[in-house]
Amino acid sequence: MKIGLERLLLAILSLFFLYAGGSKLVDPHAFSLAIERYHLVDGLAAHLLAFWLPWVECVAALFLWPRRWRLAAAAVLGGLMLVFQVALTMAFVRGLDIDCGCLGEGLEMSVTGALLRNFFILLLLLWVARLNRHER
Amino acid sequence: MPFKYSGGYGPRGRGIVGRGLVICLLALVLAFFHSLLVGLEPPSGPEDPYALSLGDLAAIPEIIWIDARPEGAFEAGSVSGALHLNEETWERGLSTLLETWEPDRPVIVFCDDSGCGTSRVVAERLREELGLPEVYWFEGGWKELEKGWPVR
Repeated sequence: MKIGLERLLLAILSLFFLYAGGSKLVDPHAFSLAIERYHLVDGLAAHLLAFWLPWVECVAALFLWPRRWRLAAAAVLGGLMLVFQVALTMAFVRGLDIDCGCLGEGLEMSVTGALLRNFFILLLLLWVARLNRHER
Repeated sequence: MPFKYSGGYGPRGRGIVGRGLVICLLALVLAFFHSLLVGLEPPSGPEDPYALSLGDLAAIPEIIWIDARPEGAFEAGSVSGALHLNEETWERGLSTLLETWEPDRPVIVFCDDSGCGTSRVVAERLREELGLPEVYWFEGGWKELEKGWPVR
């Protein structure tokens, strides 16, 4: 039962992050523009992040599967989601009328929708971490 | 028994942090090779009819400049007579632009430097939402303008 639930969680999370990362990797320049829309970084910093962050999502999504790497991958993805949540919250507070850019150009979502979805993903990551809390 | 400090996160915590760093570094290496393949900066230039360089500006008599950088940067210094408009100040900036706009004056948007994409995004949005035909973006951004154009 516990193993089945954990596999289901891992499948949901890894598919989500592989899709999220992959859709940005198809067009990193479009993601760079999406980053700039937040007015937190621009120019070179936005370009560097646009290449690095999607790869972090994809690599960590794959590393969720080996048990030894699971907690580390969940921690990396959790940290990434927290950073995204801070950026989205700042955009929300400043009233920025932008698409979140979280899933590339394919499946756009408002800032509020993205905040709620990321909160749900964070809960799933915490659940995975809890199921693996005794792993070294 | 006296309290003994075990130091940092302990071997378990260090293992997780270490593996987390490996994941981030592996992603960095992949990102490096990916950027070599497709180029770090977005392609721009002659294929974009709305991209202007400093040489193009001499032929344009009365420009409406739009500064799309953050508000603080605009207040610290900008092109003489420029308006401030970006996605953060869209509504306010738009009403100022509409008060200033005249059909025979082209609008040129700029942001920080050649690497930023905000100017292109704002120009595109103005063309699409307002249907203004002549809204361009300046490739060199503020870094080029402050050296080669009247600024305040």
